[in-house]
Amino acid sequence: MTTPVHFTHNGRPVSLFTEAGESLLSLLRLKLGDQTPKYGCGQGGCGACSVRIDGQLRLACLTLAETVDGAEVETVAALSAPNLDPLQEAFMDHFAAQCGYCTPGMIVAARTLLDTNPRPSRDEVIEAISGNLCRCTGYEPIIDAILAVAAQEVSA
Amino acid sequence: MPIEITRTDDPGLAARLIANDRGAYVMGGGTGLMRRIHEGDQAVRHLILLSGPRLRQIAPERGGFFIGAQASMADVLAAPEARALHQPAASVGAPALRNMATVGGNLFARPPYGDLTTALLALDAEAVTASGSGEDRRPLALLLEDRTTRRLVLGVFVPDQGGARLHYTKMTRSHPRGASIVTVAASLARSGGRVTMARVAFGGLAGAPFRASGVERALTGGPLGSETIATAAERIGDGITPMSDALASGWYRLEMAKIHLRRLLGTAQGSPS
Repeated sequence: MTTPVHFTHNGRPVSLFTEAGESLLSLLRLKLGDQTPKYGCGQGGCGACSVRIDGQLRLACLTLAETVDGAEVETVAALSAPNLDPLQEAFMDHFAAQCGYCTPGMIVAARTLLDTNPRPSRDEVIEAISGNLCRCTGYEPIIDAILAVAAQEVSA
Repeated sequence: MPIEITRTDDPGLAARLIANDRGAYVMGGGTGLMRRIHEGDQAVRHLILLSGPRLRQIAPERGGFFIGAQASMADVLAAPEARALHQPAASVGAPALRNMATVGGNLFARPPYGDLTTALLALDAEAVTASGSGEDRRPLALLLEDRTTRRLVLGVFVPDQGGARLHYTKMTRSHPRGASIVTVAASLARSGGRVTMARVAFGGLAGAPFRASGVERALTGGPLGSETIATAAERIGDGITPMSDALASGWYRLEMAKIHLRRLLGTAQGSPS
């Protein structure tokens, strides 16, 4: 059974068919060609597929594609146009990415935090990315990068 | 096998569908059902996308407050009426998961999940279920015990707690977030230095969250002293088979349950009520 879904993908209206039981992640990666959200665990445990739906942080792998009908879906790709988001710059400056697999999800989670809480404490940053696993960096460079952007955005 | 999807705002239809088809499930936030679909679970054959304002509502009702089954953990955390549940809701998952995971989904979450449900049991919550064209209420503990009758849960009703106070803790392997090794929720009322009422529930320990009646009996009637607490902790294992999984053995879970109950009640000793 296929169902039509219409939603906004990174500001652009899209219409396509979804299979029953298909996840938003599969729709984004395989049908829309947006490979920025990653498939990690498929269980909601790693955060690699983090996206924003109507501004709220969500896991694309656990989102039934049909439920985003009429919604605004944003992936990390939305943040880098036309210029890199300060978080993306800071992740490079602080060596906060190694293999890079967790990075899109981390940046979406971090951007969601900073949009709602521009001056987070270190503990609030840890809480905000607590659903995003990174097996390379040990998290410290990621936390430092997010705090650096917060300091920079508040003073600007 | 293809999955069927039904979109409806008619609770009566949803109730009939789940009562008549064991492969039909009402979709909450997807954190349980989508995971099962990814794992290739053939038992999930029909997803019901049920909508309606009552299902997301969190509002005071006579004698307590109501939380709709599709309210998320984030919705609970944003609702001042549901203050008693803020600590348990905050202990579920990470921010993205809390935006998705629902109260109704938590009631039927596969163990060791079900932290909010553990707290709801200690708060003596009632399940509000669809009945014909109206609503019916039954103790949550009964709903959880009877897994043979499939009822549509519209929400939960949490009664006013009077002088009782909820004490809650969750032990996990990873920090700050992780699945439960054991979750303990204890609601105690005290008067004149004695415990007049104790409702103690455990999650993550043995299948679905449950009330520990032996622990409750051991705590009720006397002062909340160290000896009473130690005796109560020894009653946790009565009549249960602690669960083993990749996170912990049953033996470890039971030992941790004893330690965390003792610690939790130890802090309750010093608290005002």
